[in-house]
Amino acid sequence: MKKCNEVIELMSLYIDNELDNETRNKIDEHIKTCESCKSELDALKEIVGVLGSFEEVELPLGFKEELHEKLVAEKNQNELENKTVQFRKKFAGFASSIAAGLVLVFVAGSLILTRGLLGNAPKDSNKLLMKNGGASEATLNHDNNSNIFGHEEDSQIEILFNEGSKDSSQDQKYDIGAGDTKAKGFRQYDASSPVDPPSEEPALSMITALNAPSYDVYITITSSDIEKETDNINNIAHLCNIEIETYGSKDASVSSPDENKKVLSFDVDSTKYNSFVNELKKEYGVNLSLDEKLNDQDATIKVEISILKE
Amino acid sequence: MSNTEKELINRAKKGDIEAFEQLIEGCQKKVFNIAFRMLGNYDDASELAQEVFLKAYKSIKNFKGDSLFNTWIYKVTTNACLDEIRKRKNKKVVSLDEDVEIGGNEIKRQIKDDSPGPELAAEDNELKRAVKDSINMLSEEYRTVIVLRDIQGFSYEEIANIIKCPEGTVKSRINRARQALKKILQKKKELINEEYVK
Repeated sequence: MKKCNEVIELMSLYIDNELDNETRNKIDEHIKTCESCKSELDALKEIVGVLGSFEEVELPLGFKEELHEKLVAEKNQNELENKTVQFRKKFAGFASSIAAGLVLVFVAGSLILTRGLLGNAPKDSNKLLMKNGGASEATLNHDNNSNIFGHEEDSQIEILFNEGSKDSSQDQKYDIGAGDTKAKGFRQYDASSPVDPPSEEPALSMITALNAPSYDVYITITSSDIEKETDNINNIAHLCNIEIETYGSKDASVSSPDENKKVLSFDVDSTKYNSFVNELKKEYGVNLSLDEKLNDQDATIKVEISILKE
Repeated sequence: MSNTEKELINRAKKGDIEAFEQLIEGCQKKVFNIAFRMLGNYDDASELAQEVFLKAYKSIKNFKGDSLFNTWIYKVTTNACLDEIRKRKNKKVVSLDEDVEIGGNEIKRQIKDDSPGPELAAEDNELKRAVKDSINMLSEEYRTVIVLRDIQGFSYEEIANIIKCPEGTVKSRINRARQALKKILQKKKELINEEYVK
């Protein structure tokens, strides 16, 4: 005669016809006399029967055609990439020497522009740049995105301008004029933020309300069937919408070298924590011990739960 | 593995779309059904199944042939489903209804549309519908084995290959998954009875 928990362990195999005759007969015998195991078996059989009766759904219309198009697109892209890679390999050396050449040309060009051909005409170039700067600003205001060349010119001029006259008062004037709207906007923001802080506060308090109090939960499981208990707790956590973050493995020297021990941990808010602990207490009752410690430093509560099951 | 399958795989590895399509012909419906039962939603399943095949096409070069091609595809499918489920968990599920009391504990009710539409749902009896809803409440590990074993009818050995677990683990996990499902159903029943008394 088998014990009830042994029978329950074997029930799925019994239903799936995966047991040898001898074990099967023993279970048959047990069920004849044990009402609770019989009703458990009947319930499981019914569920398995229902699951088996789920109808197979047909593929959505156009599924294969849609997939075919994606495969073709993938293949084309792949071939294109292969070609580019080949091209790159072939011309990698060539391209880098072009790039180096371009850098040289650019450096030389900017030196000539700022210093003049003879290297001593900063004032003149400064004036010229002022004019240019003003003009390009005007075009920028009128028509923001029509002239690519205008933009390029603009940015180059700005760089040169700064280089040429860092401490002239005209320079400052120009700067303010150019960044007028931006500067104003910025100042307004600056001025208003210390006077008008409540706009930020509700958001902050909402965040803290969502988080507090935060529980730092560690569960130490000691059981002869560690995998079963882990699965079980995992399932309870899942029902409470909790994601278990770390599963201390049995070889972790930090926790314990014991094969029958495992540590799970996760952070969680109070609502989820309470429902989780309630479920856990219902499941494990006296096998469970619980210890809550408040950590003042970061306002979290460290919870150590031990589950001991033979 | 048959010779034709080997040949098709070799051609698919070189990018032959036709060969790849022949390879997946036999498992497309099953992939879609696994995704449908795992995710509980018709449109999501369709999207995921497409992704699975595209991914398989891209990575068939890595298929070494140490398992059947179909087993490999089902492995890719279950992994993609698990990824999707975990991704969803991180996005908070908005509860449309107030919290539900189950056995004195508040549990968030998650409303998830269980397609495909009311026509099919009407054919289901009450128990069948309750079982369908309950599958979505199982943890990923349990849901996977229930879908593979009880809905799709894979053998223990096949499941062990798909989820890369020893067969013994599969056996005990299936047993526990069914018991977990039974527990959820019982709670549902109690809930319905309570409502009835009120």
